[in-house]
Amino acid sequence: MSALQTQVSDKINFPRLYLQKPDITKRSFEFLENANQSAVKTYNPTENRPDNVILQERLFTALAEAKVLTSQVAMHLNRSWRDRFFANLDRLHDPEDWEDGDEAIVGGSVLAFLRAMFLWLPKTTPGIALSNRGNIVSVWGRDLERLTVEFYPEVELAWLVTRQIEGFVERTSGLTIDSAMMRVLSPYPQRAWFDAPNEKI
Amino acid sequence: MGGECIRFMAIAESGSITKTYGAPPIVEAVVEVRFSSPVARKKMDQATKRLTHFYAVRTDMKNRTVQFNVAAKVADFTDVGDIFKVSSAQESESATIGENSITFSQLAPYPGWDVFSARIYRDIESVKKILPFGSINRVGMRYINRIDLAAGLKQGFPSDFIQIKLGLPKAYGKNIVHAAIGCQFDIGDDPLRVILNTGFADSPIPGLKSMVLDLDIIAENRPPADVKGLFAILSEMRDLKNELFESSITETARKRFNP
Repeated sequence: MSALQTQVSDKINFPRLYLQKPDITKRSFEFLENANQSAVKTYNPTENRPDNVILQERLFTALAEAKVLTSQVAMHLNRSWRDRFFANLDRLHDPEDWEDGDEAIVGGSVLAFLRAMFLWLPKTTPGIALSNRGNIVSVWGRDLERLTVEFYPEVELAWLVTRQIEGFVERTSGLTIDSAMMRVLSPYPQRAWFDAPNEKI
Repeated sequence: MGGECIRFMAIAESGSITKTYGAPPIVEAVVEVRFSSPVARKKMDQATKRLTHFYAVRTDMKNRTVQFNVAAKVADFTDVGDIFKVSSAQESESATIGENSITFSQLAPYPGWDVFSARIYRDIESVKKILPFGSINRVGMRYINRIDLAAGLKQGFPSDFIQIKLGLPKAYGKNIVHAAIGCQFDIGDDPLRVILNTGFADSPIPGLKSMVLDLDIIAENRPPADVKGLFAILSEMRDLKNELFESSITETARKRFNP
């Protein structure tokens, strides 16, 4: 069996999907500005909330598209991972906490995120947030040892590594494509981020 | 791993033996029931309200035609019918009521026929007095499978996964860029129409190719008299679908579906 076949045979087995609260400053990385981490709320468009209907429809349409796109690879995903991923997307699209100017999740970013999960095969579940452009932002690691990635539609992504070196906080960022990410991260302890045991938040 | 992981499950009512897979390659399974005459909007709405007991989300849509008048630079939209859809919070399960049909869809991950058919039965039981299940003129069942392969395309269809052969004269060479086959069959004494579409497609999994195996089975000239008759036909269609699917794949492919 080839390496590629093995990748498909082994389900991505992220044991848990945690919602981390990245503390990256807005100045240092603006794509986290609108990270929205609200509580779960069931959305039912039949509810009579006329003042909020347009927003609800917009969020519902984007969420539905994200879930349908995920279903395309659902046979290769651990079911509980998918459920937690969806629960996080629901939280991120809570109409009650939605702010004007935020963009709902972009389908292309969902595909890019899932594609990266199959390419990188991280064992650690990242924290998930949304950029104000509607792209998925995932965070591995915590505090001052962290990798943050924004998944643009298609294959391009923005990354930010935050590390503490001799008392200084080093931040390095760049743009690359998903298939090159491991090479880009080679100077950094990427497996420590991707393979770290999950901690409950 | 492999053969021993394949569970054999006896289906008591049909007496058939079917295989179930841990990770079936089904991207979408659809069952459609068409009625002989249109359903009034009020009835459609009434039936949809019943179904919202089982589904988290209701979406009302309009079927529209668009006519462009290029000279006048205007587009006229005309509503030609309503479509009411209910779906689960995860969007993987849905039922859609149109003017002359009700359609049930299951996206991946496919939970198995027992679960899918139980949902269909539950939904139909709740709306059978509202929608005209006594005047069905067509029943359809479609399973879209996508088998993700490491194999390339140059040697034609991958015979280690698919039993369907692509036969071409040597003059075409082996450097096939894309390949697809579409066939229609009538199968059985009281025939069911089978539409098979298979071919290569891009895989959403990086580095892989996909083989689509799309089986569409239609019962058009043998309308069931009632819900019981409908489920008898669905059971027959499902048995045929399984037989065709199993005969179309190899043991290697089966192992792939039980990772």
